[in-house]
Amino acid sequence: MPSKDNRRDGATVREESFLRRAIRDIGKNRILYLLMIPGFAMLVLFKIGPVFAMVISLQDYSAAQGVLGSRWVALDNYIRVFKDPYILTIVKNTLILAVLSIVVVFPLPIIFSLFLNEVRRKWVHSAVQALSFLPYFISAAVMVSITYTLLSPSYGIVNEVIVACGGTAINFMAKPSWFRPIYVILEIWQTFGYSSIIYLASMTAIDLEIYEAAEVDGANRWSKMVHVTLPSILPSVIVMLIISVGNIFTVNLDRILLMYNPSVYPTADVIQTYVYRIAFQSTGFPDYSYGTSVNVLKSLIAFALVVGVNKLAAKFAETRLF
Amino acid sequence: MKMLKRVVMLTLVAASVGAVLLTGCQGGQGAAGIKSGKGYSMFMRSTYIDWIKELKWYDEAEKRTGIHVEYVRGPEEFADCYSEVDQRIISKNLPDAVMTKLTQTNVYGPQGVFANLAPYIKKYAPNLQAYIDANPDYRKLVTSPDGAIYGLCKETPIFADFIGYRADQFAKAGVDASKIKTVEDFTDALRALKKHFGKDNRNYYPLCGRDSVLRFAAWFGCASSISAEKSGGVYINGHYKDGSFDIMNEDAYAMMQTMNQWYAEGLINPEWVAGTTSEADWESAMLNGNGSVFYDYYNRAEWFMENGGPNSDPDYKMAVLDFLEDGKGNPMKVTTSLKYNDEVVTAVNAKVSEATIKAILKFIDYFYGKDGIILANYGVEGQSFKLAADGSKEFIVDYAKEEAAAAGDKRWSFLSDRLTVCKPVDNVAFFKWNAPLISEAAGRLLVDKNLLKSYTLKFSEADSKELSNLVASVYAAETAGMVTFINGSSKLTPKSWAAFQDTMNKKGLRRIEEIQHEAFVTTYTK
Repeated sequence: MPSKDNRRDGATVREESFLRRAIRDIGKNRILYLLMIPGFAMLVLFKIGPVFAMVISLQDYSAAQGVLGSRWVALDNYIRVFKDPYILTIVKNTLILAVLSIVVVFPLPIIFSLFLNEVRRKWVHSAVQALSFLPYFISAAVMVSITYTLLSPSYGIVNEVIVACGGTAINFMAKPSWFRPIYVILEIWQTFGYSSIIYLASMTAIDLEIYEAAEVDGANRWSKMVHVTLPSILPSVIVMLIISVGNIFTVNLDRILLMYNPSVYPTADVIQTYVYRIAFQSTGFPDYSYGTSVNVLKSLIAFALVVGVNKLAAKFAETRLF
Repeated sequence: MKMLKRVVMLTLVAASVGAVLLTGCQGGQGAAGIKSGKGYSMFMRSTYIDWIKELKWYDEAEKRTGIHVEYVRGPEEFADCYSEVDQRIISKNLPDAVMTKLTQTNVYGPQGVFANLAPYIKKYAPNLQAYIDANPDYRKLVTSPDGAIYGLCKETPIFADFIGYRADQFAKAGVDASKIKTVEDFTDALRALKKHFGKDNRNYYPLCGRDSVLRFAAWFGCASSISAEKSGGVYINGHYKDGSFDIMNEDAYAMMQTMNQWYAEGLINPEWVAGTTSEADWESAMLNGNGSVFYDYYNRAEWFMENGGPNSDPDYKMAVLDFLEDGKGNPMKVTTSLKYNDEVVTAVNAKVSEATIKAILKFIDYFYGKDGIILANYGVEGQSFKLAADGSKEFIVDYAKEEAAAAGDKRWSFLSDRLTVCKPVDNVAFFKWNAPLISEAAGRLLVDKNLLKSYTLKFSEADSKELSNLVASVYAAETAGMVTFINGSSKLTPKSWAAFQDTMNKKGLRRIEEIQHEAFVTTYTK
């Protein structure tokens, strides 16, 4: 049984050897480390650094006094969040939109890419893929404008058809019940082409011998899609799912602000719009600290969900993101 | 050697990326300003800067004072401007002077961001000092409890929205505008218009507009209000005038009933009620005959005459209706602009030299003196105005021609509702500088018996923050709820209205009113 001193000595020896190993490694791969510097600087400056700014949620932050000079208020802002009578409404709205986004939006690119993968004519495959990817580059402003134009009760083509069929024009953009479906449809339109490219890329990596073996076993195209292709892209699906869950509270603020009007407030007001109003559209003095507290809580819940989904994925699908 | 080349290349790439990053982190203009004491830099909303650059009288003012202002462009939206002030404070990148709002100067002034102008005004700005002494309301507003002055509010002409209408359409529909006295008469006029123009046009709605549809409260006597006794409704953030309503006022129910009736009968544009129309949609409806009446900015009737009205219809003719009365012939007072605009405040960076403060105050002070007042409100004698036999001033340049100049071209213009320099306003000159249609309407309508007085309120930092957070949730909820009563998706009954009032109070409406009332008492009665 080694003595405590011996153990400490052992640790020191291991530490020294680690340092020496690290220095040797840096020396050996200095080009790679040099290449890493810009990316690492970006990470520190724009991703890791701002995380520390969240400390203002524990302060009564003033832009003039800065993080070091502002008054500390401990958890006051967090207590206020839980006492805010409006929080429940906006959390509910955010969650419903997020769940709809995952349940409806998430599976579609998988299904789309599975079918597109079966298209044998290469030009059809490429054309469909390019067209589906195109909306990803359309800005939220243009996308919502197109939607307004299509759905306008005065001159929109959708309402022209409804009226021509004997119906009454519907102001879709003003109906709280239509806000979520329209938001989700726009989300699908904008993102499914981009997401499907990730799955299509995974499919190209599938070993063709597996398909040949399946054919020998008598599998038809449907069986190959379900029993070969889908399981093969499962790690990508899991990764995308975990990322989606991580973004569960991050709805598309631009799109919501553009679709926002008094008629749809009951369903359209979400955490981000509320924080935006408090911090950047303030009627008086902006409460950055309170806005940050709401956002920190949002991030913590999202982080817990990501960890949870990651564990579930490890347990049931034998794959994980981290 | 090959390896060395690679290392050099990679180092260059890394250095370039680093340089780009650092460039991105750098701010724009610093606080250095113009060091000679003959000018200064000022951060301002970009739209105002564009307008300033078009003004002939402004150039003349710089020439006369020998002081040049280098403007630093801010965003177009007011809220974004104030956010940028915060960001500039954080990054210690404030120009010599900034356009800000009173809540920011009240908080950041004592924290050392803005200079206390009180001693310098005494020393360098006698005309401004005389103005402050002569206007106790202004002094109370801009002076902090310790006697410091951290920002100067802009004075604004007092005006109200006008009811503009298509006189030619009224005539065609057989509506006599002079007979419209009450809300009921107004509703009957809308019905007659709808019957005439709506029979063949499903997109025709006589009453239309832009922004919030909740702008008629004053017609029903339920606008948001403030006094030493009580505060009703959300009053701050411009809601003393636009989007003004007090749901706790007993007349608010009648307003909801009438607006619901307008909606049900197709008298008001449903897309406007829903909030899904843009300003351009409203303009096009008024120009192409899909709308006949609006209640909007005082000079909008003239705007339609000058911007395509007569081109789209040779008969096109706008007019301005009288304000409405109650059933007993008493005028229903309308909401008005604030005399002192707390959202357009000039503050000075505390880090600038006394010479720069002197230059800033000298420039502002010029506009509080006799010559400056004439210059900013009438221009230059012989060039833009002449003295009449009775000593009054008459413009000799044509309003329509000058205001129609292309964007960026120099012109004579005296639209004092915009920020140029912090200066006093001559209301008579302001309304004279309008087309005959608007000048006549202003003379007829903007008289005390028709106007509610608006008050600028001053809040403590804690109250301001609490108010901001409450208004962020309550005002949106109030608006959303009222729209559902108007469009019928919530059935309007005394019970449902009372439940709505109760919900809003629970959300914080009552607390908002308490804070506002406290601010009024502190600002105006103590």
